[in-house]
Amino acid sequence: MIKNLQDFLAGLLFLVLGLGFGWAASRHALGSAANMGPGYVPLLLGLLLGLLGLLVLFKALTFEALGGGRVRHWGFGPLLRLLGGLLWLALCSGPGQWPWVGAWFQGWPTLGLAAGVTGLLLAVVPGEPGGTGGRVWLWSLGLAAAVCILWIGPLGLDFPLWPTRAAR
Amino acid sequence: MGMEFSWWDSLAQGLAAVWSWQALGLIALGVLVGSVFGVLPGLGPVAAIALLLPATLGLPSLPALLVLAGVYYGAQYGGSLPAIVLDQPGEASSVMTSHDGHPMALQGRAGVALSLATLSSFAAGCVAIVFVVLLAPGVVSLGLQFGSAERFLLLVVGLVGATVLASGSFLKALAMTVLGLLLGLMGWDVHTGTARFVPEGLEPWMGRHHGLTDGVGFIALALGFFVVAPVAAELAGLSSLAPSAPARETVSGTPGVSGMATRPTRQELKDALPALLRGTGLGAVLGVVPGGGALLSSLAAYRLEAVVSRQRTPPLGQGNLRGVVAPEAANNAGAQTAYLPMLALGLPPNTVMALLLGALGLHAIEPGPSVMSVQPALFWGLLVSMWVGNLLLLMLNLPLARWWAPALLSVLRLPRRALLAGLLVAAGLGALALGPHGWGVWLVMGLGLLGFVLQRLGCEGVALLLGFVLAPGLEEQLRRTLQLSRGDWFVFLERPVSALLLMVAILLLLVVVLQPRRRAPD
Repeated sequence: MIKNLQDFLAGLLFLVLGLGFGWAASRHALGSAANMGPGYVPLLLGLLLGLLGLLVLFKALTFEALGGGRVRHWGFGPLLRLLGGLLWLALCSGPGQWPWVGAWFQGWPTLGLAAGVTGLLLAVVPGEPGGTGGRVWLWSLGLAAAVCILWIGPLGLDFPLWPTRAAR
Repeated sequence: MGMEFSWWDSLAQGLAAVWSWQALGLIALGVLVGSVFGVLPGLGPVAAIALLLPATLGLPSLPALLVLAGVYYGAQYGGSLPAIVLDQPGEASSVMTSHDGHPMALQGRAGVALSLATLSSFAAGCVAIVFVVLLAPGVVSLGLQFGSAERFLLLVVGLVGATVLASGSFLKALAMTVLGLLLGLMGWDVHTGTARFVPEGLEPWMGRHHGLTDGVGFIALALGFFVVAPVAAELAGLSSLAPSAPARETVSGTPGVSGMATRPTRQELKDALPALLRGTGLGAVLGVVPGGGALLSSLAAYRLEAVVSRQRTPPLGQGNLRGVVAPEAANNAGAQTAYLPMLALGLPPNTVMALLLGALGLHAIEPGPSVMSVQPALFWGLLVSMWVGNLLLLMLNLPLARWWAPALLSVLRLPRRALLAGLLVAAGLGALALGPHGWGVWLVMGLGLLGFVLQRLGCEGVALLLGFVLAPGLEEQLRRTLQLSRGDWFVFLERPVSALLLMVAILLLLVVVLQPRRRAPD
């Protein structure tokens, strides 16, 4: 059976990605070796990635790893909170123009930087390890404000700070 | 090249490019940021450069690179400070410094260790820069003689070499490289004018200016893999960012460390000189090797010093100043010579150089041997700036140490969690600056997720980054080669140099396959 879970999952991921890229590449014109189309090299690389994925899978099924290569602690909770914070930041930047889903957000205001960064901090700062005392909040806000000032001032980020009405 | 090459003119040109308030200020900024990130445990020059990339996008190419280059060697100096004073290396390449530096500090000779570390870093840096300046034109003219077949295989050798020397599973590192290559080929294909792998709805976003290939994807990759993923890992308590969990209590008061003002005696300087030379030589060579750079150099130099100076008292590991000098000289020498293959051949030996190579690409400079002739001001300006930056660091760390060292160490008193939050905000704003309506943030989110998952599965992002950065060049050279040979793959065997390079690549692969056990990732 699976003797190295970590490698097994990695191999599976590489195999899927390789086949996916290979399939996507084969939808472009391939051309020939002398006159390569846009899909030629990606197809080769996709197949190579799939092959490497198979090798990793083979290794995971034959060689016993210490402790079965189990991942004791995935740590997806904080990752999801972090990604949620970033998603909020993206939502504050005018989602009405997004492809595919843009129609859902028609008429949404551009919430602006202040709201976005506050949301990001709210998602990231609380929790263990490190604890969340007043000092942590103070420093987080201070650092975030400093970064915002840097970006809006000298770096010239073209982005509203406060909420603005949706463009008609 | 038809023109007569003159060292003097080239260096004067470089100096002229750097000699302005703006450029000097930017070097100082890079050095400062590098020092701060060097002091912070687990946060190195890679994270700093990733965060600075979107900020320097608006600058012209030379100023942008001055900042980014300053970060790398600034971190080499900064990392040794907490390593010696607190036994808490802020930087992977100064771990070795703490073995002897901290015992010296406990013996009341912190100042001796610190000034020796700075002096040896500076001396080694200067020697290494001279080494780069002397060798660069030769390497460039060699590179210009290469045809596309050789260029292609050179890149392949660089990629394979970097995977061989990466820690952890070799197969997975190789797969990561290929994945990086694939990601690097996403988006606009200049040759055929096709947007590759892009769903139709996304095409307006992935056009010429906001596509994956045109730099935006590269910055998003750097932010996702080297800021978002590691920060998420540390927030989850996986602490891949802070290998030596920083004990917050020891930061403010450090019992036992005294003598910050002590200076090395003439005898001690004389005693340190052989170690300095050995460290510099080893570092200069290892900096060029694929997978090398500051980290490998300092490790190897310390091991070498442990063998060579085994007769010395006190023995290495108990406060011998040679154990401070050798790794410090080596890591800075390695940090400077790593620029040689990156600038002269377009072949990055380590992560930082890969990021800088990508930064060159952001400013529409095609990396490779042509950089020196097409952009002489950039090439020589960067080399001169390295010396200016080293001089600046010497000033900060020796005459001004009384104010500089405590100021830098006080950075460690920041609550770690607030620091991580600040990094994320900086990454988020940098991502916002990448494209309209949060397009960059989406990219960073996706790539951060990918980076996190891959890292949990024991795959290193370094290999992926190298592949990503080299992908366009690799495809271009392959295309050109096979076009000239009318589709005949044997062209790689028929040309002597390319056959040699192919053999090197295969040999490197064999070395790994036949090697019984590999170092497990730490």
